[in-house]
Amino acid sequence: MTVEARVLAGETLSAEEREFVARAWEFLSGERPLRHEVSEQWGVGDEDLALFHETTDERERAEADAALAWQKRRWEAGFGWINGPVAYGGRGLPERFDRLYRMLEGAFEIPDLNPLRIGTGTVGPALVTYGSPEQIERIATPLYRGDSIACQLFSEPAAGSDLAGVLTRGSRSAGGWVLDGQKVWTSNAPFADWGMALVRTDPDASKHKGLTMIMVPMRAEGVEVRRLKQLTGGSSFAEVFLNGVEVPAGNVVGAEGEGWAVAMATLAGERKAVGNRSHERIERAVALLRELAERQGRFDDPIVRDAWVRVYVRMVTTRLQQQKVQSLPEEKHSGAERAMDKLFVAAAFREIGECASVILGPAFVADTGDWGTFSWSRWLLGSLGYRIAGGTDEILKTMLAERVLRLPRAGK
Amino acid sequence: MLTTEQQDFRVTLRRFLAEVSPESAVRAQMATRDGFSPTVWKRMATELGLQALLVPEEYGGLGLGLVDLQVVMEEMGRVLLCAPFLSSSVMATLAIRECATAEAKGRLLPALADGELTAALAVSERDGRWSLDGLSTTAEPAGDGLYGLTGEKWFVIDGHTADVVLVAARVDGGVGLFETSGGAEGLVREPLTTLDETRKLARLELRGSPARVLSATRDGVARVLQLVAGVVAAEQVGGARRVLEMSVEYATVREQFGKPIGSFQAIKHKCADMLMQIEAAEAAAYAVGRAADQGSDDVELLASVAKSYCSDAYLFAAAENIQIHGGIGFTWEHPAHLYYKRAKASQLLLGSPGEHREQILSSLGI
Repeated sequence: MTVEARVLAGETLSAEEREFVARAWEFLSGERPLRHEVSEQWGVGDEDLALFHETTDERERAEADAALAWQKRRWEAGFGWINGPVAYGGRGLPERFDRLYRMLEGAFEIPDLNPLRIGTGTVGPALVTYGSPEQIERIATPLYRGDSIACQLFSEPAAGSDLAGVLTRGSRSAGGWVLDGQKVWTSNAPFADWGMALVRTDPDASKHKGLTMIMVPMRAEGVEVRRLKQLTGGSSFAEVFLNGVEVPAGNVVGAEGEGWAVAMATLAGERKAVGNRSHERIERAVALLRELAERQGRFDDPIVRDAWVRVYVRMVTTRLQQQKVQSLPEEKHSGAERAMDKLFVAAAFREIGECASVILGPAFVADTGDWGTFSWSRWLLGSLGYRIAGGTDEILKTMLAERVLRLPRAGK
Repeated sequence: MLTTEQQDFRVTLRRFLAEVSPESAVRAQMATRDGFSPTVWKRMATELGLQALLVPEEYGGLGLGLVDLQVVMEEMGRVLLCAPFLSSSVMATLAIRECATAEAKGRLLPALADGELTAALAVSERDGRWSLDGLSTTAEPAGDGLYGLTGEKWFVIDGHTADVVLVAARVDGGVGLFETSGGAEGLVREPLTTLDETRKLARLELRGSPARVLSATRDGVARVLQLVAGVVAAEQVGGARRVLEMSVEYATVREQFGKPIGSFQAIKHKCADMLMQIEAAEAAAYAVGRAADQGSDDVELLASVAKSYCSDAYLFAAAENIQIHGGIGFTWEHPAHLYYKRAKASQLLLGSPGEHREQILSSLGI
């Protein structure tokens, strides 16, 4: 089976899709080498086992620039905004084409696009739905053209799972709005050009009604970004302080007071998109653990055998479930697909981390210097955060119970 | 995932099973020795042709695929249908279809397809393993191309009621599959007291019982057992979905502290955990059917993945269902225990989850 066929195994393609796939494959093969197998990569380079990408000031600008450069190439070749509206530079193709492209791209060595993902995956689509034509042209299109990067300014110290509790104030000024407050757990903040901020513009209105969504230029006066050191010892997120930041009125997305609806649409877009990326990480990790156990002769131990085969079963079932959801037509979706996928992935991440510790024993807790050993501890630590970030396990399970199973909401 | 025909068939089947297998019928059959109603068995054949599903058209069957069969088993699992469908129409029929000579197929399959004949597959012995290694039952040539079977078979599904028994036995240093009559000379059959009373198991004692050889090699039989494991996985999905529905229905109407208990997060999270496992179980189960129907070479590996995962998912859901029901769930009158017992029994049927996980490792060369 060719790599191309293996990547698309189980997909039934229309003539138009086949043509699209052929063009995309041609573009990718012309640009980048195919990705290596795990066994070929053993002992080479970074183990890449941190679940949240951890970076430093020096590295991150270079990573962001590499991502932007690749996004630019995609844009020039017509794969930068596959499902975006034609009027704004997109290809205007259905969602499915975008997914097919991402599946193909996953087979190649490409720069990590993580720095762009919030912009192209969440902020961009929200702007297309709620923004004015001027805003889409000015802010959304450049995100896909590889010219700028966006971050999301939603969570606050006092507003985690209860997002509608945000306290950051937006007060009217002569030219628009003045923002004051603190946001937290922001990815990409140090190098982002735009921040999509949920702010309280009417403190007298009810909790959900007094909110407005505003696009903040991250380099504006009064925006202060501080790295947050997480329990892994590394840094993947930042705190963003907004101290009297002046924002023009034209940066309000949707209507004043409509912020909650925009936020929900943004998060729904995120929840709908059941991606392949986490599943690819799981597959790589399970393959690495097999290689590790084989190299260390650990498969003689029944406890190691059981630990590994359990993560293998979890990998297969989680992937099959994801493929089942992806193959369903969108009208059959409940809107909680990504929530379930994320719960599965979080559980798999954790079990994989535990499996590594079973295989490694003491070499999991002290660095022997061997490649691909102690670094698994970063995976396990990261898995603790994965159950919290982007909707805690508990919030997501409540969502499944209420949206899919229709159990009564609390207090009713 | 399923075709429109399969979805329509499911609707028809669900209606039929609601009529022939309400809880009262399940409880009535549970209490009998044979464990099924011949009237319902006949209706299954004449009205829907269920027994003919896997039988090739040239032998008077419908020649349908494994996914079609899985839909049927999922629906039967929902209602805990008491019938020799798994033993006769799935296990024995598949074994004959996959392993037997054309002569045996021509003799047995048409009658199995009509439901006129039932058959059982006897593999495990006193140690309860569903493995073809280490069998002690033997087949000795007895002249005229016949054999004499000697040994004990245990945990044979519907073994005491089947018209024909297919016996895995040692022969010439290998393992083969043999056909003997339920009423054969030297065959003593005894129903066992079972945890899951909706599916009957028997012990068979063979004292030189006359038999014909169906297959002289073991590979086909081993593959059949794996396919059946994948089919049972679909039955488990059906049972698990039903207990989740029961939990959600109950949690919506049962009030404590002045509120439906389903509004409490502790209950919601239990239901969400059940839902997740069931969704993944369904994906895993049907992956086996699709792989089999497409002739894909990873079908046996997928069968072990599905059987291990679906077994655990069903048992989890069945236990949580009892917990969500509280006191009423612990009574004999409530059906929750029937599903729990089916879940436990089917978890250990055709290999425990742990055995299937070992199977996965060996398929992967580990």
